[in-house]
Amino acid sequence: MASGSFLAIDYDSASDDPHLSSRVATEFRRANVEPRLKQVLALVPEPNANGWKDIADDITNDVVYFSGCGHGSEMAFPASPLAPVLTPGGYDTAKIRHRIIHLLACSTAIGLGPDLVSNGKADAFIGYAGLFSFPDPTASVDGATFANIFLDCDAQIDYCLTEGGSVSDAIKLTKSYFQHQSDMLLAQNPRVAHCLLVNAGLLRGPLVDSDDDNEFGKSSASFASSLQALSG
Amino acid sequence: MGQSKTRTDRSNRSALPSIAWSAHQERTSKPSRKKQRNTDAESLIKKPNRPRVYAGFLHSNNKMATIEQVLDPLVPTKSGRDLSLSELQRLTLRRLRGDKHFIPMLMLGVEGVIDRKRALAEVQSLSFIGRHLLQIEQDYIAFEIKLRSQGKWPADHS
Repeated sequence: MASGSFLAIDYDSASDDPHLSSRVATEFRRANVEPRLKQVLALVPEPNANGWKDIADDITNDVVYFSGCGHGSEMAFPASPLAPVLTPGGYDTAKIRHRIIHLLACSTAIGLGPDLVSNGKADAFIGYAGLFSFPDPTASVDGATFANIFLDCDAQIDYCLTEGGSVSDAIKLTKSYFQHQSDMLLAQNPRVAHCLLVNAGLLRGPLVDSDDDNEFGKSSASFASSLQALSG
Repeated sequence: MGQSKTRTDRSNRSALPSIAWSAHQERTSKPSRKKQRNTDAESLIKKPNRPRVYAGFLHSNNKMATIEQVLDPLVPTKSGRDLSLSELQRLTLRRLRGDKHFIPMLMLGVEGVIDRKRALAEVQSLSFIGRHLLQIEQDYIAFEIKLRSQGKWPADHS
């Protein structure tokens, strides 16, 4: 196990967000993604973060990765009027600097993500520039729940980073995985297959086909590089 | 004079060899009405399995155009980005009502499930979600047109 840690901000953290969509996505990540992340990073226990102040003390120098899941908006995550944890300028730069932030939430790549990189000096931000949608969990094909297929596509970001990949690698892999799963689902349900491509089109992060950095940070960022920068 | 021409024609017909006459009949005779009725009946039986899929509007009368018409270069239609908001709204409502494979969706941050009934209501009211659904439908129509023109559209969904 690496010496780094990760912080998971999910729907439980925003206690006034009872949406089914957030709950389904969070349960998927707890069951499938967090165990994989825990193979290389330690989970910072943070069951109830009502605002930035609640988590700021937990963000030590070994926290390299923030993963979030739930209701987002262009300028806040979670998009809770009472207790958003991340808002433009509503954080200590020292706690954001050199971190990699991945939010499975709607629209945060429009305003919040670029702010976390330009002002917060995060190494990289990965998120969506619109509404992330997925099928009702009761819908399935060949025993596989459609919703899980969708959420598994986003999880490729975490899996790739966990295996030592860079953020750019993670986005490349994830986009192609969305396309692959869409191709697989086309015969069963073209509308669902298309919805996967819509989500893929909304995914934002450091440039995929270039080594240049952009408003979402450094394409070469990885857990190892973040840890090195934080401990340096 | 007319009578004599008729008699001549009849006599000519009887003079033709029987095999040549039956071949001539096959070439010139119209299909029997009975056969036509059968064909029509077959097409009527097939129709319920192939509901019309609409994908745009006819230029001629601004009625909805089927996807086959949109794909036909000889039929002037408009689709995709050429549609006005109200046209896209009408088209989306029609397509959502007719999509037997519609699956209820969730959107992160949106309360509840977006089933067909809610999707129709959201599109009808042009709410924030409704406008998002319109955008998705516009892209979906383009996706469908592209795959159908490439012959990649799944047969079960034709």
